[in-house]
Amino acid sequence: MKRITSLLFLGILFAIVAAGCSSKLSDETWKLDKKHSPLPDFVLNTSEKINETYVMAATYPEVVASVPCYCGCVVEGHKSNLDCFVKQVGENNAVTEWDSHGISCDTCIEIARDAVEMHLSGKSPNKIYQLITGKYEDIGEPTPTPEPK
Amino acid sequence: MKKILIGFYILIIIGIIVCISNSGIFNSKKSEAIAAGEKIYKKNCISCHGETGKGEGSKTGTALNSQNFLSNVSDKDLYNYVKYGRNGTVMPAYGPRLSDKELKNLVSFIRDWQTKEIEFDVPKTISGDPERGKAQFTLYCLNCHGEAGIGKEKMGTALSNPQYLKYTTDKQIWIDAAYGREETRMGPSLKGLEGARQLKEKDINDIVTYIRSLEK
Repeated sequence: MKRITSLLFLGILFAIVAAGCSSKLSDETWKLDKKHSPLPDFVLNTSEKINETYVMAATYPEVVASVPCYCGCVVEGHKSNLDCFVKQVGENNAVTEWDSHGISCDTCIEIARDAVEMHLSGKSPNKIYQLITGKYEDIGEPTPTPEPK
Repeated sequence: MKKILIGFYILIIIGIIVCISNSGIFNSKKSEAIAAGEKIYKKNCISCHGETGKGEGSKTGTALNSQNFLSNVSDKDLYNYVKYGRNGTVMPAYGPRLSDKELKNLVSFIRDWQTKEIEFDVPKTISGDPERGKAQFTLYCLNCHGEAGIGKEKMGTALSNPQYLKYTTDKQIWIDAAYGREETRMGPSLKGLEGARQLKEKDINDIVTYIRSLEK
């Protein structure tokens, strides 16, 4: 009986640790909403991670738009990390044109994923902004993204 | 008597070798070169490559302290990069400004940032289809490295630069593309590594072949 209790306790402990370690991103099913323009071939022909990140950016545009990008795209006029994935948005935040920049940019991809994961973990926009800035500011110049209040 | 003398001489020579090797004379010479190189670095390189050699960030220069970079270049390569610079970019040729000894001291200082030697898996022959390579380059590299590899300041190295292509081998370009440079904007591209692009060896062969074709 004692052995069973110990095993049960260990099992619960393992489950708690595993749940804590699992990424919030992997808990979600990333499917593009029908309101958006379909993903173009330049995205579809790339890795699963890139495809998934484009869907994330379209699903949580306000989150990705609230963090700066540090890849250097500021020289191209980007205003936030969202510009690396989305070129134009129509009514109801529906993506009407995609941007190819994100498919070649590890920094853009990582920033977008980190921001969405933090959002899903319940962090405030300001906290997300602070954490992203702290993590990536050494990589390059930031886009002029205003700090959320 | 002759044999005893020869034995005596051999013992003396061994003794001298042991004394010199224990004296640290070579190490102190190396330290002197590093210290001299540091002064040159602080005067000429720090504004673009930063105090720690990390470069990038808001700086224009490449990350010289990257372990991937340092494991991929020899002292001679570093020497050539500094001496001949990159025409048409912000990296000037230091050949006319620094003596041979100063260049070597600078290389010693940069080399001192290397803390480990990384072995890279590289195909034995790097040969591909330049047309397909161009398409792959346009898709995955152009955003940072510019049209036909012309480069973009604070984003990507000018890959079509004549000095870059002259002093960088296909193998080195392949390693840079496949493994990237840690903690910089240039992530790994090879499938199976952590980067987003996940390119096959063949894709990278094609890209390298295309980049080499830009040499005029």
